[in-house]
Amino acid sequence: MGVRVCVVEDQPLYRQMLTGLLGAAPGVVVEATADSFAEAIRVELRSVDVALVDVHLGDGDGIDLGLALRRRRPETAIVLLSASDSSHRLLALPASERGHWSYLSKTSALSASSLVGAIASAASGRSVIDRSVLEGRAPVRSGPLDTLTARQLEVLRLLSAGLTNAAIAEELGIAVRSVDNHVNAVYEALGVAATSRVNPRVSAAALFLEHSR
Amino acid sequence: MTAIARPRASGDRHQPRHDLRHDLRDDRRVLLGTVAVVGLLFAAATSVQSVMALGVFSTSLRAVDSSPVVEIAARTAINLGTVAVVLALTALLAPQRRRLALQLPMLAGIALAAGGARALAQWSSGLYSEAAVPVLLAEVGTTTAASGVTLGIGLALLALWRRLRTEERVRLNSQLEALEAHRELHAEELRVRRDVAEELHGTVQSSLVIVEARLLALAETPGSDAEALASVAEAVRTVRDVELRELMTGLYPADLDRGLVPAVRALIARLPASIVVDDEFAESGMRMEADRPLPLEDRLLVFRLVEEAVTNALRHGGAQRIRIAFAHAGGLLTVTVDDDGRGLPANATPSGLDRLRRQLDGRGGTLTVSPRADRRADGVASGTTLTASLPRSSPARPEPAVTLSAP
Repeated sequence: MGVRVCVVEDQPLYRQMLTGLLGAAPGVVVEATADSFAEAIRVELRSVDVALVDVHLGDGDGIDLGLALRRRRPETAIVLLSASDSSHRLLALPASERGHWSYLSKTSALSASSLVGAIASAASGRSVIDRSVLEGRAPVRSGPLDTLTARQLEVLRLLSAGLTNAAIAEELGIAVRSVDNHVNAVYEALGVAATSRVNPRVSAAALFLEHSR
Repeated sequence: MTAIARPRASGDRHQPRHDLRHDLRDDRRVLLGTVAVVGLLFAAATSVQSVMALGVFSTSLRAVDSSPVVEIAARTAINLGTVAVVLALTALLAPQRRRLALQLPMLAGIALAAGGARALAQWSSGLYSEAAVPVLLAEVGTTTAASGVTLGIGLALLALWRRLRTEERVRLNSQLEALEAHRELHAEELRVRRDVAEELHGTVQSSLVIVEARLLALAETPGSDAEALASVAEAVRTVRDVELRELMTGLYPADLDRGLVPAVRALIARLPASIVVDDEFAESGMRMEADRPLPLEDRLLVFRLVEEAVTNALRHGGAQRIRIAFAHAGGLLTVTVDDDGRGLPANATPSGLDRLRRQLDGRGGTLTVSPRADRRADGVASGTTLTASLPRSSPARPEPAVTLSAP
């Protein structure tokens, strides 16, 4: 059985495109669709692994909806969709929540590989932030990211996009071992404790979002 | 120097100027008019009563025959004279302009003078014989009482009149203020509409015209290349992500419904990475809305102030660092935005600031833009401080429910 998805999107055409893409993808099943906050809140969650939620719903806010869904069923992962860059909204989430949330721009979500990749990552407990959103960002001057080397910043960017160390190594054409070293250096520079209850990758990604624009 | 602090003008704008001399004339008119009317009623009634009820008695007192018509005429003339005395003394002494403690003895004095004058007139005109001294004394008493009552009624009516006049003015003032606020709101709405229309026409429409033309050209080119298509896609992205978003922010700032801090955070997220914004705003902003959310109109105005200050700091001042702070004390909201830029050019007041100042004015707030208080080590003024404060409005309607608290 594949990843079971609930699609919450108020624009009919865009919702259709999403369900079409997901329906055609192997390993993904669209279990439910909803066109509003009110409808989504009534969806039977027992059969849903990932909720794909538009941030701007006509009758409510996607982040509020995601929080409500996760209160009802804490195993549900949320993938937010947004037409304009609202990734800073993720920073408003409590630290314990962040690891269960992913973020995709509506443009990326229409590419089958990005969409299915994000949903698969979210289902396996990883948090994904849209690469196109991360790519345009630079560290805020005299912020904590300002001390990172260019290579460390690149590793942090890919890590924030939800890539594993192996995937980062492949992407950058370097050894996994050196990626491990870079990741540890980044944790140290940002003061992210690998022993903390919150996944250090999630904390590092949040710091990247917070201190870059 | 970029100090463009200006005293609030609402003092002379919202309080219609009332001429004090006009009010004094008005008071005199009301008092004398009332005294004249009541006094004349007393005069007429007393004349008729004296003749009808006491006519025979009066004749017998003087032991001469007298026709009622002559009696009435003589008595009426004396009574009118008495009213004239009261009026003249009232006009001369103007008790309405004195303190209450002075008004009462003045009233007694005028009344006594009127009583004396009337009795004297009656005695000298021979209406009463010399034997009737007790009757004359009684006349002095009743006349004094009647004059006192007349003048008392006049003063009481004047006090009522003054109170009504004040209430009417207060009502009129608040109506004027409401009208002014409504006009301001209407002007603001028109401005936003015009700006949006101009932006749609000038930027979005012309961007779309170019996109359309480029797509048509690609359609006509056999084997169009991916690079050209990608560049058109980039143009579409600019329309969507930059131009439309700016328009939307102009109409209604992103995340404003969620609170002041999320809205300011969304604003900061659009600034270049080279601009440092101190973190202070989040904490002070959260504190401001901790107990209960600000009314939406206050939140919007505070947000526009921050937006304008940040825009000016970057556009005119070339600032690198910005500090935003909020405070809320005693029903007064204060927003302070400091930057380290060059400051606004001398004599320049960006139209946005002027507009916000007018809005604040209408709401009883203030706006100050001045060189930053702390100077650089070399003593050269650097940067600008914008400080605005406004009284928090009482919520007119329930606020949108916010279930997620921002950090």
